[in-house]
Order: sequence, then structure tokens, then C-alpha cells
Amino acid sequence: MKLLIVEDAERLRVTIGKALTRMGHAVDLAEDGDEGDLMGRGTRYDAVVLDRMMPGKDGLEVLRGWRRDGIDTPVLLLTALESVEEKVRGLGDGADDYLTKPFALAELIARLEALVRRRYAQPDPQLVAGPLEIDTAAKAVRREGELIPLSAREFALLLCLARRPGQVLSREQIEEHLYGELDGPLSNAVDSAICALRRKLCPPGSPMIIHTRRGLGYVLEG
Amino acid sequence: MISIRWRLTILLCLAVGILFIVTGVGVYLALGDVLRSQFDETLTAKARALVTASEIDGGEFEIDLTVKDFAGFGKGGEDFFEIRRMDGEIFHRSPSLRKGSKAPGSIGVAARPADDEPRLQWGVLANGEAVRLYVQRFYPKDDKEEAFRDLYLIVASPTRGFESQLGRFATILAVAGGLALLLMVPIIRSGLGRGLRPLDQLSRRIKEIRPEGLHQRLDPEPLPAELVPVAERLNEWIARLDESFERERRFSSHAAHELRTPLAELRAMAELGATWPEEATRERCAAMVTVADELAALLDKLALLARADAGGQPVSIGEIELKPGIEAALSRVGAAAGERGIRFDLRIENGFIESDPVLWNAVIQNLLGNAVAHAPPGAEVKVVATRQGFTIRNPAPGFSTEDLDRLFERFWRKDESRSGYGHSGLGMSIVRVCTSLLGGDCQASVTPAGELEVAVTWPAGEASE
Repeated sequence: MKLLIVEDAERLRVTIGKALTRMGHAVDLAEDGDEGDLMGRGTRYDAVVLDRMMPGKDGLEVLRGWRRDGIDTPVLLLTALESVEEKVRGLGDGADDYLTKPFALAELIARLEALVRRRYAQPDPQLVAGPLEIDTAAKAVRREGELIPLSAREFALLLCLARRPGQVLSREQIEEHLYGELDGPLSNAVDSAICALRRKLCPPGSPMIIHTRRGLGYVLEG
Repeated sequence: MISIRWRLTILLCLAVGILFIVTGVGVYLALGDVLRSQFDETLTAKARALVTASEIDGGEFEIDLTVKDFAGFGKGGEDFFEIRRMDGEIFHRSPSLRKGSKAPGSIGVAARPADDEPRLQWGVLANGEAVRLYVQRFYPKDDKEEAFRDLYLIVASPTRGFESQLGRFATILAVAGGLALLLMVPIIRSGLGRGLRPLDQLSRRIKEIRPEGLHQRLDPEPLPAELVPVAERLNEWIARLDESFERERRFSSHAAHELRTPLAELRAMAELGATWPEEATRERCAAMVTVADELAALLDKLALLARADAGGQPVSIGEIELKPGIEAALSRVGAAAGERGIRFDLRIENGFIESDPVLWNAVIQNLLGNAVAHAPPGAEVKVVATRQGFTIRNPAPGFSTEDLDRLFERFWRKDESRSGYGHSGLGMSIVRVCTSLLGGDCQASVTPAGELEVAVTWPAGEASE
């Protein structure tokens, strides 16, 4: 998933970012409302974590601006205000979910994943792509019942393709989904990641799942 | 609880009732007096006529009672007279006393006159009937031989008619007064109800103002003049209440933010380290300690404010040497000042002051910290410390006189920047609270050059050499 964290408390921002990166997601960080607003408008994120109270533009202001301009990126509002009125207001202004500080990182991640699942109209965390069974909640992939160990980034790459079956994704699109602004991947990073993923998913002799469309990109076809 | 309306009704009815009684008694007495004097005049006229009608003719006493005016003295008449000798012996009587079935016989004893002046007095007939008496020494006309010198005349007229007239009048007065009083109660009550209606309306409108609707104000326009100041004062109080509720709301939401954000950081960092042990780096652990320290410092500040609010902050006065005290505080902000290129222009008087070292230090430290954090980079901060006070001035671009009102508010920051670690926005409120605990005064102003000046003055007489 490609995620944006807009949070003015630096240590919190960096820590959330780190945890999400560890989970194999591409994460961008913004330290205030203005920066977050620009980034949210410039890039298509799978979901955004938006702090409610920030210097400059506050979270609700940014959110209202996006919704007004038709930006429908799922937004999880992060806030210290726990009153029902505040939650109702946040959700009413277009937030998709609401989390009160302090929170468990695991809960934040689970909620973000649920948001993204809903976004791609896949309410079931179990995804089937050809012979593969992907459990997005447990981050596990099975081929004919056999568990295939994947790194977080490989899993993210597989998910990125599996969520759009039959759709050709360009190298740039994949890159955008897998790497944050600051990751600075090498030019052939996507190619080598695809190569590694193919090796793990399809033992020699079995049919290919990930196909290369020369000059266009990659597509997953079961 | 008795209502104003009932209280006023009772009071007014009592007052009106007393007024009625006093007036009634007065009228009764005056009328009685008028009736009596009219009665006396008639009695006197009759007596005079009797004196005129009596004469001595050929040595014999005669009185001509055939005159029409004397009809009352005849047989069965209602008027009586007696002529007595000075020793009390009856000399002559009117026929009304002697003749007829109901004739009383004689007039009861009357005081004997000592001089020739006529007297009017109350008396009774022999049959006990109350009468008014006219008594006078009597000298018959043409008594040349002075044979009838020792006589006096008593004329009596029963007061029965006069008294029954007065009694009737008293009854009329009492009944009319009582009825008027009975009618007065509903009239006064409804009149008061009408008069007090604005008061009812005011209390209804006050009742309608709920704690969550404190933006409402009472409109003094339709109120009577007496209630306008009440409404205005109430409006002032509502405004103050509204303001303090609003401040309370801001305080709670800021306090939640200031406490929950570091807690979230602590939790997130700990969880990160617990999930991926290689993320539990030395730097991250040090950052966790810093967050915990900041939280502790914030709680210390909140506790100081809470203690001061509750009147539980102890104040123990000791001797503080100005220069070392301020230099120690300066050294604590030295690193931050150096980072931002802040310079100090110090004018510190030599000497000691009597103050609470903890509170005094909190004031100085927070003022210096505030200047270092908020003055633009490279700015010069001017500090003047005397035994009477402490003044700090620093350039504050963007700070306006409107901000002065909120400068001392808890958690208020000009730029609302919440990411400034270690700057909770409590510093200035602590300065104010500590200054007031020390009995001093704290004022902030914006100089014409756009600098923020905060002047703390210590109570007079506290300074010592």
C-alpha cells in the first residue's frame, strides 16, 4: 500500500512511518497540514493518516478541502480529542475512520488495511489469484495449501498486482506503490523484485502467474 | 416560598384596610360631632324660647306653652323641662313629664350651675332614657320683686334618634369598608400581576438559558427601567461564564492533546521495538526517555498550576541573590539560545531579594525560556533585573495587542505550533500564577517597536540590601 502520514509530532510521525515501512508499505511523511495537503493532492495514496490538530492547516481543514475537490483517498483521522462530538464531526467532514491517541500500532495498521480493502471492493481479507491464496490480514501466501515465505516488500508487490488482476501495471505505477518518496529505488528495483517474486511463487515447471508485457509493464493472470 | 405578588397584595391590603378604618373612624367622629352640635343648637334654641316664654305676671310664674314650637313639651311630647329651685326642689315641670302613660316623671340629677352660663351635658330621665341636658340659672322676666331668684332651668331631649342615626351611619361605613376591602384583594392582585409581568418574563427568559446555550443574551430593550440594570448585569455574568466555559473547553482539549500525543509516541516507539527488536535502537530508547521526561515536566507544570488554583502551593520566603540566580537560569537556556543565535542584553542589579526560591526561579526560567523559544533567530533579548522587579523584552513579529489577552492562557501559543517539544504553552500561565502567589504583579505589553515586554514587579517592602 502507498500511504501518507500527516502528523506534526515528529517522533510519532517517524515511528508510524517506520512501522508501516516494516510492514512492506510505501510511506510518505508530511510534518504539517500545508505539506500534507499538497502531497495528498499530488499523489494517489491508498490511504492517508491525518492528524486532527496541527499548526497551519489543521486536519479537518485539509480533509474538507480534499473532499470538496473530489479527492476520495481513504483518510484515517488521528486525534487526541476523544469526545463523541469530535468523532462525529471528523467522520461528518469526510473521514473514513477515526483513531484516538494513544493507540496501538497494530490497530492503526489493521484499520488502514481495512480501509484499503474496502477501497478496492474486497471486503474479504482472503484473496485468490490463480493457484495462490493470499491472506491479507495474516500476510501469508499459500500455493496449493503450502505456505510460501515472502518478505514484506515482496508481499506488498504481490498484493499490488493481485488487487488488479488482469490489469497491466507500469514499472512507475508499481514503484509508486512500493516505495516512499525518500526510498529512492534503483532503476531496476521493480524488475529484480518481480524476478525474485516469480522464483518464489512458481517452482520450475509450473505455469507462470506474473507475466511481462514488453514496453508496458507487468500483469498477474491466474 | 411566598411570591412577591402575594407579599405585596397582603401588604397593600393591610395598608388599605388600616387606611379605611382610620378614615371610617374619623368620618364617624366628625359626623357625630356635627350631629351633636346640631342637636345642641336645637336644644339651646328650645331652652332660650322657654326662657323667653316665661314671665312673672302679678307675682305668679307663668309659661305659655301654647306656642307651636313648644308642641314637644306638651302631653305625650318628646321634649322635657324642669325648673328647680337651687336646693333641688322641683318648681315647675313640662306636661310631657307629668301627663301621659309613658311620661317619665322627672329628669335625673343634673349638676347645679354655679354661674349664669348655660351648660350642655349628658343625663338620664327618671325612667333611665339617655338624654342631652341644657342647664342654666334662670331669671324670669318682670320679676320686679325678685321673688324667683333661686331657679334654674333644665331642658332635656332624648338622644335616641341621634344615636340611632349615628349607629346606622357606622354600620354603613363598616359594611362599605369591608366590601371595598374584599373587592380590593382581587383588584390589587391582578394589578400587581400586570405590573410584575416583566419580572415574570425576565425570570422565564433566564430559565431558558442553559449552560450549553451561553451565547444567548437577555434583551434589555422591552424591560422596564428598574429591570434594565438587572438584565445588563446578568448579561455581563453570562458573558463571563461563557468565556470561562470556553477557556475550560480549550484547556481540556489542549491538555488532552499535550498529554495524549507524547503517550502515543511512547507507545508507538515501544511497540515498534517490541515487534521488530532491531528497531529498538539506542537512539529510539533515548527518545523514549526524552518523551517520558517531557511528560513528567508537563505533569509537574500542571500539578503546580492545580496546586496554585487550589491554594495548596506552599510559599516559603528565603533570601535569593539576584545575579547568580538569574545567571543560573540563563545557563539553562544557553544551549537553546546559542542554537537560535539569541543574544542577551543583561542589566542585573547587585543585591538580594526576599522571595520563594522555587516560585521565583519558575518565573525567571519560564520568562527566559519563552523569549528564547519565540524571539526570531538572531534577536536580542533585553533583561532588566532589579530588587523591585524583572523585565524582559524581545522582538515579537506578528504578536499583536489582541494576543495580550490570551498570552497568559493555559496552553495558548501564538502560532498554535504543537510540535515544539518542551514548549507546552503553560510557561506564561505559570509566570502569572507564581507571581501572584509571591504577591507581585505581572503585566505584558507590546512596545511601539513591536517588541513583547513582560514586566514582573515584586511586592514593595520585600526588597532588602
